[in-house]
Amino acid sequence: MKKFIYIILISIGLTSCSDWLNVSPSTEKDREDLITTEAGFKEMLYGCYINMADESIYGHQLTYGSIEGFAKNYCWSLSANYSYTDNSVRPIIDAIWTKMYNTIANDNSILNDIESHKTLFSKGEGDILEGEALAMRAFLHFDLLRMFAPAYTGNESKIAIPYVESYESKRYSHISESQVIKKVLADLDKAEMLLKGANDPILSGITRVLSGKDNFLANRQYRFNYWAVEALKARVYLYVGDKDSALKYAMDVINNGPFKWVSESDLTGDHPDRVFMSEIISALNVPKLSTYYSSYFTSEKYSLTDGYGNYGLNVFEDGNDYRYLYLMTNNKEKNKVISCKYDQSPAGSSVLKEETVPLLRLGEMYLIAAECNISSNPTETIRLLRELKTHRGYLSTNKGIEDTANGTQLLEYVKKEMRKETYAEGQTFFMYKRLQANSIPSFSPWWSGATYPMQPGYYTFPLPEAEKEYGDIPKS
Amino acid sequence: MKRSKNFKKFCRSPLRLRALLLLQLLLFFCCCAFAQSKNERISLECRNEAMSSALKKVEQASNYKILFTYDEVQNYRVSVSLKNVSVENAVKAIIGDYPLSYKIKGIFISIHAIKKNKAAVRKNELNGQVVDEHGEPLPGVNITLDNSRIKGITNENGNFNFYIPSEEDVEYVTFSFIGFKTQKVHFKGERMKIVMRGDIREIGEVIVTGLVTHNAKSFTGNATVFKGDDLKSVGRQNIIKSLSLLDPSVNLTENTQMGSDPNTMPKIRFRGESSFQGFENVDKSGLMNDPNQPLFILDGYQTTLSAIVDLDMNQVESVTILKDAAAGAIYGSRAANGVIVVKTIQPKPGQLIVSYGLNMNFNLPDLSSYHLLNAKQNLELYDRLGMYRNDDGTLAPAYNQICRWVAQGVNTDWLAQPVRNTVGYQHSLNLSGGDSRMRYGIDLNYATNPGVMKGSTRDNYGIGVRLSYNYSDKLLFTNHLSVGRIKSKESPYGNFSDYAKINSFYPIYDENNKLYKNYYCEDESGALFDIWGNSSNIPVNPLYEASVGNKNTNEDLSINDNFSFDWLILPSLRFNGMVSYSKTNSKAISFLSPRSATYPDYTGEVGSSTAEEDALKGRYTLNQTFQDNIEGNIMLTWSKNIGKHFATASAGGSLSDARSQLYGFTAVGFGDEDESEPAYASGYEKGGAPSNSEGHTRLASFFASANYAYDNKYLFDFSYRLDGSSQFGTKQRTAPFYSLGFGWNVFNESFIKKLGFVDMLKLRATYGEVGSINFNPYQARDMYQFTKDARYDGNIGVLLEAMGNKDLKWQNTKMYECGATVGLFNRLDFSMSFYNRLTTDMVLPITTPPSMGFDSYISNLGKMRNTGYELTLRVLAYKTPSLNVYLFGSATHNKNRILSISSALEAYNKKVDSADGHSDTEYKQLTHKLLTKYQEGESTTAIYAVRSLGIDPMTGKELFLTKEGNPTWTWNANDKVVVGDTEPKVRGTFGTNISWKGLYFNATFAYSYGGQAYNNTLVDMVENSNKYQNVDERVLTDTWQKAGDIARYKANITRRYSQEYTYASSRFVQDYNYLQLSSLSFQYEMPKKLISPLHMESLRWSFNMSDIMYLSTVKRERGTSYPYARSFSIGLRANF
Repeated sequence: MKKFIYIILISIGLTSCSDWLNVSPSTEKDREDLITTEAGFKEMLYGCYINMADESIYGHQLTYGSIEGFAKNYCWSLSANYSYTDNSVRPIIDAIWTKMYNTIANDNSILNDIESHKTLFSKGEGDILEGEALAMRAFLHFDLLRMFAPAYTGNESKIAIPYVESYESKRYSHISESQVIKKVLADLDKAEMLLKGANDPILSGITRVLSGKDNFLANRQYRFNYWAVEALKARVYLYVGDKDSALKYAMDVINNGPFKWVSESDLTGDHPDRVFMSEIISALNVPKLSTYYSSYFTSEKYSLTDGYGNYGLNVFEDGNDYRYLYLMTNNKEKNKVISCKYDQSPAGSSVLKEETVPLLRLGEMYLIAAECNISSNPTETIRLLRELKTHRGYLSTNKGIEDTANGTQLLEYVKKEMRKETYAEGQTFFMYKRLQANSIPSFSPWWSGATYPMQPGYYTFPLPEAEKEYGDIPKS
Repeated sequence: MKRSKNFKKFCRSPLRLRALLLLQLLLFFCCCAFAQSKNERISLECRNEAMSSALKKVEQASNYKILFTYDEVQNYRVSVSLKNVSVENAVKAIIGDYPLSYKIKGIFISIHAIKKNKAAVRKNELNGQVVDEHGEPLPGVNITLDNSRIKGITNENGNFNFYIPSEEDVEYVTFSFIGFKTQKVHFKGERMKIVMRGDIREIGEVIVTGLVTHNAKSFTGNATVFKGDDLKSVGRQNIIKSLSLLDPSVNLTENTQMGSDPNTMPKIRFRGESSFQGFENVDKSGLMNDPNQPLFILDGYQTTLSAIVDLDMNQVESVTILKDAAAGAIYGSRAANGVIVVKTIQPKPGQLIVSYGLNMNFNLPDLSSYHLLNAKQNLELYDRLGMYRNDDGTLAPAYNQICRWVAQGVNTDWLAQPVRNTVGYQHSLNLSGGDSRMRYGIDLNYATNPGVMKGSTRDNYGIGVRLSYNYSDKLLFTNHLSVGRIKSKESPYGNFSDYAKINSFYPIYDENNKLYKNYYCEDESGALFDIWGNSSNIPVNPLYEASVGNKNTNEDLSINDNFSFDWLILPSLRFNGMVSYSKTNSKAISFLSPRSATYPDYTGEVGSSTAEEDALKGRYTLNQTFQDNIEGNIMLTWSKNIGKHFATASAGGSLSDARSQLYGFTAVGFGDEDESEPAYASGYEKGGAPSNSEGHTRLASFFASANYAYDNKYLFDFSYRLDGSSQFGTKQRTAPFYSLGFGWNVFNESFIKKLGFVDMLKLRATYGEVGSINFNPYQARDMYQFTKDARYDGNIGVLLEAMGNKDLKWQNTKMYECGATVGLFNRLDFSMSFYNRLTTDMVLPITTPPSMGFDSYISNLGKMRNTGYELTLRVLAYKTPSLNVYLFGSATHNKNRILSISSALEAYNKKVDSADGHSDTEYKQLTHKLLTKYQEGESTTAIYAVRSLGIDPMTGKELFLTKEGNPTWTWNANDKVVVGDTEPKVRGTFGTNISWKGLYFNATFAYSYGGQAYNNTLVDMVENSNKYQNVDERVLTDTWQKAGDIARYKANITRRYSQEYTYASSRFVQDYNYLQLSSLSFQYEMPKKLISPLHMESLRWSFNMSDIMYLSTVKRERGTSYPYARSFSIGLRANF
C-alpha cells in the first residue's frame, strides 16, 4: 500500500503519466509492440500466410473450391447460369473479397513500418520479409482484379478495384484495371529487387526441412520467394496480353530456376508426391488440409464434370498421364472420378508433401511460354508442350502434339494441358476469362451439351453490397 | 449484598447493568476496606455518577443505611471528591444543590425531595421533556448546565425536573445523547421542550460525493441523499430496488423474462439512455458493463452493480445520487449516466454496541399472468384445428394416445412443477465501540436467497473489520477490510418457459411411476414416433432433464481493503485521501449430465449414437475470472468563512488500475451425473482450446472544485476534472470535464424571511460536460491475436482483430439543469428539476467498405438527447406529538431523441427489417421478438411495427396500412412506422409514511402512465404459438375460426402443418399503464420497558411486503424464463 501511495505521489510529481497509461495486454498483442521486434514482424507475416490459407480463400474456395466449380471442372456448379447474387453463392463471393482485403490490411500493417525497422533484422531478412509482403500484396490484388473486374483486354480503363497500399482507416478509391496492373507490377518489381538483393536462399537451390519453425529462411517454396515473383510476373503479363514480357519471365523461371521435373517413382509408394513438390514455385501450407479434403472430396460434387469418367479420358487422352493415373481416384461404388491431389500423406513420412496447396507451378510456366510462342515461334511451342508431356508419362513420340498443328490447334493443346496441369488449383476459370471463351467444356449432369455457352458477365464477380454502398467508387 | 427496592429499579436499566456489576465488584473491595471502621469518617470519589450509586457508596462505606426513592434521585448525577469527611457531610455534598433534603435517624439516613408545586414552573426550577424527531420521548439524555456542576439525565418518559440555585445562574442548557446531535439551548426560565435529532441526520446536511463533501445548503448541484433507514423502510430486497422506489430518476427496467430470479442483476437506467445498448459490436466483451449503467462508488472507490446489490443494507449509512453535472462532474469521464455514492456505517465511540438483525424473506411464485389450456381444452383445440387428422383425412394414431391420457384424467399442472415457496434468511451482526481515539467495528452477515424456481439460490456471506484511529483530533486513519463470498446456483429445472410450453395431457410418470424421458407413441408395428408422427423434435419431459443432475453454479470471493486518512492541517485546511484494493475471483461451473436428454440414447441401433459418442457424453465447463482493482486518491481542501463570504476550494488527484483475466476450459466424457468433477472427465472437447482473455485499464485524474457563497444567499460552484485513460486513443489521451452551478437561497432574503412560513426556497441552475467510456479496454488500439489454431510451416502468427482508432475518445454529455427546492410551514417539501442531456461523440461502429480490411471500425459519432423533469413532494399531513402522517409523491418524465446515428446503425436497421420479415426457420425465433431499431428523430425506446386495421371477419386475414396509409393484405418490413414508445409519459411513486409512537408504517405505490408495450405473449403464445405445444387460452376463445367471426386474433394454423407467422403489427401494441403497490412495511420499536429485562437497548420489528398488487392495462405473461414472486419479509433488529 505504501508503494502505491508512493506511486501516486510520484505520478503527481509530474512523471510521465502517459507512459503509465500505456497498459500492455497479455493475451493479445498491440501493434505498437509488435513492430519493435524482429519476431513481431515475422509473426505478422506468418499471420498473413495463415489468413491466405483460410478456407474462404486459398485454403479452399480459390484453389479447389467454388472457383473450380465455376470453371466446370466439377460436376458441381454453384448456380446453373452463373447468377452470383444467388443466396447460396453471394456469401462465398463476399467472403472472398472481405478475407482477401483483410489479408491485405494485415500485409499493409507490416509494410507500413518495415522500411524504418530494418535494423531489427540480421542477414537481410528484413528485405526478404518486405519482398514477400510486397509480393503477397501484388498477388492478392491481381487475383481480386481477375475475379471482380472484367477480362483485361478491352477493359483497361474500366474502374475495377481499390489497390490498398497503406494501413489506415481510409477509403481507397477504386481505380482502373490498367492502374491496378501498374501497381501490381510496381510491387513485384520492388519485391524482385529486394529478394534478389538479399540473396533469397532459393537462388542457391531448393532447401527443405521438416518444419520451418524458427527458421525464417527455410522452405522457400511455401513463401513468395524470388522465383514466385518472376512466375507471377509471367502470369500477370500474359493476363494483360504482353506476351514478350510473359515469355521472358516464364523462360527465366524455366531456365534459371531450381525446379526439377517430378519422376514417376515419386508418385508411387506409400507416400506419393501428389503435388509434384519439386515443380512447385510457390505453395501454401494449409494445416487443416486433411480435414478439408475429407469433408469436400467425399462428396460427389467435387467429382469430374460428368461424374462417370468420360470427361476424364476426354481430357487426359492417355491413361498413362500421371495426372490421371496418380492424381485421380475412381470411387467405384458411386462411379465417380475425384482428384486425390490433396489426399496427402500424413505428416512425418516424407518431407513437405502434406498440407500443400500450390499457387504457382513449373508446368504453368511451360504453358505460358508455349502460348506466347504460338504465333512467333510455333516450333518452340511444340517443343515446350512435348517436354511437359514427356514428364507426364506420355509414351508416344509426338506426345499427342501434332507437328502440323496450326495456331488455333496449338492454343487448344495449351488450354487442354492447362486444365490437366492446374486441375483443382483454381487457374482454369481465369484462363477461360483471359481468352474470353464464349463456350467452355462441360458434361454437367444438368447440362446436356458438351460445351457450355459463356457470356462475358459470367466471368466477373459482383462487388459485395457493402463495398458498393460504402466504398469510394468513381463513375468510369 | 442487600438491595433496596429502589436499587432493583435502578438495575432494570440495561445500560447501567454492566456499570452496576462493575460497581458491585468495586464496592465489594471498598467494603472490605471501610465497612468495619467505627469512626464515621469516609472517603468518596464520584465522577459524573448517578446519585443513587453515590449514595450507595456512602452506605457501603459507613454503617448507615440510606433510604431514598429512586424516582426522586434518578435524574441527578454527582461529581464529588471527598476525603475523610463525616457521613453527614458526605451526604450533604452529594445532595449539593439538588432539591433534596436529608434526615438522620439512628443508623438510617432518609433522603426526600423538597416538595414543590408541580402545577407551575417555579423560577428556580428547570424542567421539560426531551423527544426525538418522531416525537418519541428520549430517556437517559445527559443534561448539563453551564458553569455548574449540576448534571442530570431524563427519566424513562423523557422528562427532567431540576432544582436550580437561581434562574440567573443558568444561561444555556446542553443536552447530549449518544447517536444524537448535541444541543445547547438558551434557558429562558420556561418549561423546555427539546427535540433531539439523530446524529445520522447530519447526513442530510452534507452531500458526500465520495471525493468532496459539500454543505447541502450552499451546494448548487442536484444530489439526493437517502439514509440507510430510508432504504429499509421501502423494502429489504436490495439497495437498488429501494432506491428505485425512493427516487424516480433511478429506473429499474422491467425484466419480463427473468422475473424474480435472484441471480439476475437489475438493469438500471438513469434519466434515459445515452448509448445504443444492445447494439452488437459495442459490448461484445463480457468484461464490460452495461454502457447505460450509472457509476457506483462505495466508500470512495468504484465498484460493480452486483457488489451494490449484494451489500448488506444494515451496513449502509447513506446513498447519494449525483444527478446533474455540478454534482457529478467530479467523476469526469465516468459520470454521464449518473453516479450512485454509497457510504457505509462508521464505528461509533462508546461502549460496545452489539446489534443483530434478522430478516426472513418469504417468496411465493406468482403465476397469475399465465392462462394456459388444460388437457381437455387442448384436445378441443386440436379437434377444432383438425390437427390430429392425416392429410388423407384419417386419424393420426397420436389422437388415440392423447384421448387415452385425457380419459385417464391426466391434466398435469406443469407450471406448478418447478416452483416452490421459499424462505430466505438474512442475518447481520455488527459490533462496534471504542473510545474517542480508537474505534472498531466488526460486521458479519449471512444471507440466503432461495428463488422460487426449485434449486435456484444466491447465498451471501461476508465479514468486515473497521478500525479507525483518531490522533489528537487532527488526524484520522480508517481502515476497512471486508471479505465476501457469493454462491449462486441456477435452477436445474431449466427455463420456466419449458413448463409453459409442454402440453398438460402429458403425464409426468409412467405406469411404473418412473419419470417419462420423452413422449413417444407406438404405431401398430411397434415403431416409435412422437405424438405428431415425426421422429425428430420428440417432446422431452422437462422434469426428466431436471432430474439428471445438470448444474450451473457461480462462486465469487472478493476481498477489499480500503484505507483512508483525514488530516486537519489547519482549521481551514484539510488533507485527505484513500487507497483501496479489491480482488474478486469468480468461478462459474456448468455441468451437463451424461444422462441429459440432449444426448441421443446409445442403443446400439442404427441412427443412435455410437459407442465413441457415448463415451464423450457429459460436459463440464469451468470459467474463472480474476479481477484486481487498485484505486487511490488524495485531496486538499481549504475552506474559510470571512464575514459574509464563505469559500471552499479543493484539489486532488486519483489513479486507478483495473485488470481482469478470464481462464476457462471444457471437459467431456463423464460416466455418471454424480461424478461431476473434472477428475472424472475422459478428456477435453474435440478441437476445444482453453479460453483466456484479459482486460486492463488505467485511469489517472486531476480534479478541483470550488464553492463560494455570499451571505448564504448567492451560491456558486465550479468543478473541473482532467481524466487520462488507457482506453482513449493515443492522440486523445486526456479529457477535460467541468461544471458550473449557480444558486440563490431565496429563503435567506429578508423579504422572504418576513413571510415566516418559508423554511426553504432555493433556485439553482447548473451546466457541465461529463463523459462515459463504454468501449472495450483496447478498442482504440490495433490489437493482434495469436492464430492459436493454425500455424504456418510450424510458426505461430498474429492477425489483426480490428482496426484501432487512435483518435477514439470518451462519449461526451452536456448536461443542463435547473431546479428549485421549496420548504413551507415546516410541513411541505417540494423539489423540481428540469434537465437536458445532450450526448455527442457517441462511440459507435462505422461501417467501412470491406476493402479497408474490416467491416467496421469504432469511432465517435452519433448524437442523442434526453430531456425531462423530476418532481417530488413530501407533506407532513398530520402531526401530533405521537402521530405523524407524511404523504409523498414523485413524477418523472424523460424524452429521448436520437439526433444522428452512424452508418453501422443504419446497416443494423436493415438487418432488423429483413429479420422481421423473414420466413426462414433460422429467423423464426426473431420474428417473435420485436427488434429494436434506431432512427434519427425517434427515441431509442420506440416501437416499430406495421399499422394494422385488424382481422377481416370474412377471411380471417389481417389488413395492414402501408407507410403511405393505403390498406394492404401483405405485411412488408418497409411499412414499419413508430407505433408506440415503451418510455412512459410520466412515471413515479406515491405513498405515505405514518409513525405513531413506536409504530412506523410505509406504503409505496409505483405508477406509470402513457407508455406502450408490445405484447409478446399475444404474439408468441396466441398467434405465433407452436400449436404442437401448449398455448394461451385465447387461442381457443379469441381467434378467428369461420367467416363472420369478429375476432381479435387470427387463426394462424388452418391445416395440420401450415402456419402463417405474424410479424410486428400494431395490433399487439397496447397502452401500458400500471399501478403497483410496490412496498408495504410496518416497523415497531418495542418499548424499553418490555425489552430491558432482555438486556436490550432497542428492539425493532419490521414487516415488509413487496410487489403485492399489480394492476396493468396489458395482460401478458410476466416472468417467461423465470417466474415472478410475491414476497414479504419479517425482520427484527436488536441493539445490545
